[in-house]
Amino acid sequence: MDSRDFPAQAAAALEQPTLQRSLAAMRTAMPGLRATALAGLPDYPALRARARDMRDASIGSLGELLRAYEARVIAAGGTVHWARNAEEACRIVGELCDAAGARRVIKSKSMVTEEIGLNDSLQRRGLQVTETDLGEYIIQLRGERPSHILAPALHLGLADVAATFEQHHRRPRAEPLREAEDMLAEARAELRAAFLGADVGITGANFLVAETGAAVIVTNEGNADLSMTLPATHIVVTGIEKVVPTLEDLGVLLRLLARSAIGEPLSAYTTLVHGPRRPGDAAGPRAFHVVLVDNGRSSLLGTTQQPLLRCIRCSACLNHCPVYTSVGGHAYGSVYSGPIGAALTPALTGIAAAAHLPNASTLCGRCEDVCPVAIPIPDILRHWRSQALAARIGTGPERPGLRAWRYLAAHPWLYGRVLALAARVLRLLSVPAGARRRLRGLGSLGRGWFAWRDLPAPDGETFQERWRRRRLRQRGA
Amino acid sequence: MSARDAILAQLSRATPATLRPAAVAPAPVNGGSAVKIRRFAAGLQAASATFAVVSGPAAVPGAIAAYLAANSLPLRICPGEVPAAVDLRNAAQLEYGADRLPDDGGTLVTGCLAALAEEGVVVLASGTRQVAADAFLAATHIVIVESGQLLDGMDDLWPVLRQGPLPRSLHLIRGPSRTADLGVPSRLGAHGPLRVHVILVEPAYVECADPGDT
Repeated sequence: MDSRDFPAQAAAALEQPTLQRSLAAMRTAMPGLRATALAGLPDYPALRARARDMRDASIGSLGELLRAYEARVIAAGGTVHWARNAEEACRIVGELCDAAGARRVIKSKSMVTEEIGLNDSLQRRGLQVTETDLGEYIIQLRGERPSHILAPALHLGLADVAATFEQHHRRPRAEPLREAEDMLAEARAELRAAFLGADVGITGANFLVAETGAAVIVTNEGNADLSMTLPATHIVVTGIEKVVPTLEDLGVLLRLLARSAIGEPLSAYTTLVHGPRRPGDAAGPRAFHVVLVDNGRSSLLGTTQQPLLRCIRCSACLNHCPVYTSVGGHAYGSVYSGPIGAALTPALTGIAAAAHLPNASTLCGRCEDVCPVAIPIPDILRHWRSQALAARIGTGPERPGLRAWRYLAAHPWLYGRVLALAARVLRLLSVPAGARRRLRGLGSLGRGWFAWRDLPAPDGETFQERWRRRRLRQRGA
Repeated sequence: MSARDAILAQLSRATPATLRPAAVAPAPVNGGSAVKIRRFAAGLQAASATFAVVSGPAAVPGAIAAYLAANSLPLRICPGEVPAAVDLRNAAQLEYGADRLPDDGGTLVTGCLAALAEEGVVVLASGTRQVAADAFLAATHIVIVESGQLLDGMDDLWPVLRQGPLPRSLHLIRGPSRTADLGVPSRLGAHGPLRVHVILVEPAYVECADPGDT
């Protein structure tokens, strides 16, 4: 999967019945759940404005906040590592695993580790890596990428999961797996063994708190809590933009995150962790490391795309996007999909590799409307579109059309004539449909469109012509 | 130049933005004790946890036994750190188990650091037996919340944390472990507890079967 192949991948996604069923269910359910949860807040608009301003202020002083965070972690007995890029981050985590004498690693779901390709890197070192988020575990067994930020196995049905488990879990089975309950019991047993036998636990962090040195991790399954409590070493891998100043600031984002993401006040588990096991603690790792990953984030500072750093990865923009909910995440061919992925990926990989993604949008603006930190995603997509056009990337057929349009728009007299002609021709080509007339086809032009829908036909007169007629009539009266 | 210095140098180019001090996040509605308890109960129940209120610590063992019996679970419990006023060791109704959970999960009983009404969560802190790994390995987790530990919402939790030494880890738990990765509806018991039951000890509250009705 590659972002360069978006058109073909999107067309293929439209033909996948299981994916389409999941997307339809999401499209129907998620907006209502989110809206209801936010309506339960005393003043959502004020909280959203606060979150946006606080994120901007934090991004404006990231260096200071990260230094404060680092000092807290060190004081608590942990170690902080800094990684400029994916390669550095993977090397640091690999060396930490080697130093711990690790063979088995468990992970809770983390988009940053997907971004840097951590699993492949650790496996090349000979480590056995097990994802413990159930959806992530399923796609790991299948060798696939997540198709949604929060629901990585959204594209799979129960039958797919059953087939995957039957192939990979070596256990005696009287009859084939059918019920979700049985699949869950099987995964629970497999993963519990992995938890208890792991040497290193790797988690992401949803947020870092500069005031206390907390890494904050939310899950519904509780897999992050097990991943960070049972193994002797806990490694947190996260982006440098995740840091917030105080616990109150954390509270602002926590009150928005799960409501925006899944329509609930909080996830089942929200955990703040401050370092390794202390004397007297009944559990917890002996060693605690945080790897802060830049990987292109700092280069967004001071650009028009800087608001992307506000993102808290709630996925509300995916759940509300007419494009994402039609084609799913794999079509994008990037780690981050949906509107946020389309806006962020060109910044991470360069526009050349991701030129299709800013076009995977109708610019309807729902992504910005539902964003809990008000990221102007449509503006950023427009920015990337003009970058792609300026660099002449992937814009072959559009260029002559855009040039013709520019000429017309700059010559009002010609514009009026061409439009008047088009209105009459389209009227002639239309067919009666009830009280109005509709266009059902234009020969070979727009066949893809007319295969599924028609267009209301113009009245045969342009707005300017009608306005002129009206003015004449009024003057005459 | 080290990676740290390089990243920090890059970050120093940022334009500082100032955060207007006004407009503190709106607080949850404080509707007094009964409303708070109703909100708390509703939040827990929405997350598939269950809830009961008792009028005093002496009633806790009976409430635990009633819950276990109602769910056809063995009356054997594995106690973590519970409030001092609650005596589980000498409770006739319960079988006081070993310190370690049985391999099949078992029932863990703990207290908590605080509970939040708006979010419907209990807050457990490390440093004691409260958050041994047991809290995530047990099949059933029963949490005792003392009167006074129930706060309006998250913003009331942070000052409580600042009063004492910060625990190594804090766990805000809203209900049983669950997953939506096997379709809708969510399935309970993905990794951690299949059941979470919260018992609130509230002398001022008139005990009733369903606090939602009051």
